[in-house]
Amino acid sequence: MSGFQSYKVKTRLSKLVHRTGGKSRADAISAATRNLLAARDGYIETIEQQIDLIERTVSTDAPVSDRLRLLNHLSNNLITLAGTFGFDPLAEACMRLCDLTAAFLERDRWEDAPIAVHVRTIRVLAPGSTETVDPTTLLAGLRALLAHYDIAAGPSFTSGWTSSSSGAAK
Amino acid sequence: MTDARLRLDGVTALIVDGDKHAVGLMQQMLRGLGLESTTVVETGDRARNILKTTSFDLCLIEAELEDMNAADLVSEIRHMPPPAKHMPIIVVTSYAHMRNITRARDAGAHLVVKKPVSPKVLFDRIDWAASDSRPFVEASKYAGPDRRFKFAGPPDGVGRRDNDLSPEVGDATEPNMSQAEIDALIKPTRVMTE
Repeated sequence: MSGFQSYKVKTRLSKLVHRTGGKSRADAISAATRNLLAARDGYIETIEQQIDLIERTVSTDAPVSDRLRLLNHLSNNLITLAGTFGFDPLAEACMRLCDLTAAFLERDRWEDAPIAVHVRTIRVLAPGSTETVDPTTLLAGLRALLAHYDIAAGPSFTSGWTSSSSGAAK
Repeated sequence: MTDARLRLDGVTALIVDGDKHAVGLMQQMLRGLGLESTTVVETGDRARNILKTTSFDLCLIEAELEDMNAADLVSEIRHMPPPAKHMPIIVVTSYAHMRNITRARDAGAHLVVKKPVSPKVLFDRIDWAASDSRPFVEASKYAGPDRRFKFAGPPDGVGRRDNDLSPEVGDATEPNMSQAEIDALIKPTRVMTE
């Protein structure tokens, strides 16, 4: 225990945020949500581009590990975008692709079929998709597919947005 | 929590994240909350360099950076000279890197937040980081805010510090104490050194 110290620190952040004035929690959250809403269209375009990129990555002839790593990275980033703007089923499909690619990377394995099913599901759940589907059934199918390959699926997607602050979500 | 007011003008934040879209979302939210001054760097190396010359009031770090893990960066920051050492650090983790939560905490991060971050969560976490009353601990293997959020006493009732109370109770030598006196006596406490 030599050199052990425990002491109180008053950070500059603490001093600054507790000055008089500032924004109430409700006003601040509302303004932040408005800002996200204002940027929504641009980010939806980005989601489209990211899905295109995922589809292209599957069909390249790059080494398997590189493709898996990139798919894992792209689907991981897409969770943030889709989740922020209320496309929860899309975010969850991306989580399952993350699970799949992480497991395949670990096993140094590539299989076209399960990857194609995940990517197709992502496309079907994309913003603006005209296909009539039941997201719950699709996502259950992805879980079943992962189970078939003995891959543990992570939790369902929960955005953490509440009804009072989810203006940007729908 | 619902009545909280935060004044974030004048607060400077360093965002360390290689995902430009995630950074964009974070900046939009921070601006809405009133925090206008953000500096963005994509890698841990750049964060390390900028922290040598510039101080920030808050740092948000993505769990998995291109060149290093957030835990390694947090650990380095905790060994820098003040004020960087004491800066509130929030690690933001995406789904694929959730396994890093414990590592980030053990490296000295104040909080770990899961992406996507909502405005509500962001506001509350900044409020929490600013109001955090935990002491700062410096030991041979750890530097950062005390990892104990609650006064839960020593693990398994076995103390490892000189001031931890003994679980052994001897024979009574004085009159019975009231419940309030007993509660006050057994409530675990820590000694703070300034």
